Amino acid sequence: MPPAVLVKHLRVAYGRQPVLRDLSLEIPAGAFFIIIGPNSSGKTTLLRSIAGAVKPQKGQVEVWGTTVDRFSKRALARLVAVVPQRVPTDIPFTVQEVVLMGRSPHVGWLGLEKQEDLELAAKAMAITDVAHLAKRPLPQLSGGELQRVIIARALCQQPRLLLLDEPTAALDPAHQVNLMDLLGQLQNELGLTVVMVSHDLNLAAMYGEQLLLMKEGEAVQVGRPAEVLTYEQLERAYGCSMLVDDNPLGRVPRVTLVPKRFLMSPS
Amino acid sequence: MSWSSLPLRRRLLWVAILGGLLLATSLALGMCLGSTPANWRRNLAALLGRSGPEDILTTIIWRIRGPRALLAGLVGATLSLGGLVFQALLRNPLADPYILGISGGSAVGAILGLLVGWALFPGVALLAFLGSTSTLLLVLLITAGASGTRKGSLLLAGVMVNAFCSAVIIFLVSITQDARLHNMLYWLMGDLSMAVPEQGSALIYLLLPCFLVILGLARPLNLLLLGEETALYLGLNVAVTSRVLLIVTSLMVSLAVCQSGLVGFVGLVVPHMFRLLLGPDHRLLIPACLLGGGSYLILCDLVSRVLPSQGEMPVGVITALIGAPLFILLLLRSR
Repeated sequence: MPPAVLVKHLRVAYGRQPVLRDLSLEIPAGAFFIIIGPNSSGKTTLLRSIAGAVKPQKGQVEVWGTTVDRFSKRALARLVAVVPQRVPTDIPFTVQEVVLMGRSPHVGWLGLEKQEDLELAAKAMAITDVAHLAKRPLPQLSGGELQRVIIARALCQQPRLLLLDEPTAALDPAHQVNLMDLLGQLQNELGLTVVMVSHDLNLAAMYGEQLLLMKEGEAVQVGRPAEVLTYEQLERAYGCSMLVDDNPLGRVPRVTLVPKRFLMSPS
Repeated sequence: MSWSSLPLRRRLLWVAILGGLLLATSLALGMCLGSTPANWRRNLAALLGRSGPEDILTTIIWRIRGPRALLAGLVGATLSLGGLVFQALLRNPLADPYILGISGGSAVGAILGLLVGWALFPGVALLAFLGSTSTLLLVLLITAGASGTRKGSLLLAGVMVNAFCSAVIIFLVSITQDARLHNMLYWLMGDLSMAVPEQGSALIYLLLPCFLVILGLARPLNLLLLGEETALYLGLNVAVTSRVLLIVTSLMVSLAVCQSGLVGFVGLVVPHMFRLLLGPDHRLLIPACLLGGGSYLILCDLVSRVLPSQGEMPVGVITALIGAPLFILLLLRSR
């Protein structure tokens, strides 16, 4: 079986500014894969390249053995679903309508859903615990609810690969853990391949099977959390010192940010 | 049970039934009311073709008022649909069907035609159509290179072309001093008085395919409301779809406008009105705008014919006089 995602010597630039330089990567099918790295290190661009939203200058991205631009947009959307960082919330579609839009790559262009589509949407809403909001218009939702609605929409696409861009950024701790548990459950039960971008190193350590640490469009390290989250590599990527020790919950590293006043100069 | 909790098919059925009834009523009223009074019995007989071909009322209803109501209905439907599409495509609530330079281009064409002294149909209409298609082409050429900020540059290019054309129009109007001035002003405000039977029936065949294309793209329009990136992730080929919508809609509006002049406000107020009533789903809004927008302009045209004791006024005056207060009322109620 080919890997879910295969990135070969990928180079992407916006104008003249290169964002990804010669990045190569393999994500096995069924993995829980988390991309970390400082701001503007190219994490979101990598996600967008996998989703076919940016054209590479060099190299290519393959999804289950087929180059991304050989898919029609519709065919790709049946395989890959994306939960973007920000979604417009000013349009008063109801939650159910938004979730049903996940059926777009499956229904005909005239776009009337069948009973089957309605059932799939109901199931997706039940999984992400937003079924009680079905008739609520989008602008009335809280940040956590909105995030779960967008994930329900992605599930409604029936993808094999789920890409998420900082899904926990706007959530309180309880919602963060719930969401990450949900993603883990989807990976286990539906066999979804989950690839997400995160700024939270500890969540990444606890949930990610494999991590990619990026800096300036290149991979600093790929591997299990213990292989990636080391003092030297974190300092190299982020340019600041972090304390790395063992997480009391299990055999994963724990990263602690260190305020400047704790950094003593040798004098 | 509230409107939004009805299944989509049920809501669609309601829109079709109520919209169809509204359109049929408006058409009947538009054909039966006018400066030649007759009781409803004679009107009905003439409408159903029972009063014989030599009856003067039959001639008025089928050769004069009928074509005019048909033209009004088609123009109203086209402008409403055009506004709806551009508001979604450009994600701008102030977009109207003329926004890509269509009003300026067609007006320059029409006024040149009137200056030369051509008849409104087909001479002036043809020039107006040429005018709007060439400004549209110009706007598309200006924005062809821009990629990321395409929407913004489309809007700006359209506004600039329209502004330039306005200056040309005022220039042309100000050097004209005879009776042609009256025709020019009426054209600029929208005027349906010169409708001839051949016009509407030819227009139907040209507009119907455009309506169908847009109706088929109802779901993609919904996706575009969520932003281009999300639409792409949901399997829409955004570049191709936007381009098709842009060109089909502009052509359709040019076709309508060149026959009616610049009827304002319909394309702005009708889509927003239905959005407040029905919600943001284009699968409902497109049929609603077609049926409701058509009815709205037929009724406005009727008022513009009947209200003044002598002659008539440009229909654009009525569309704004009725539309603006109605819209504000709905806006206040929806809060």
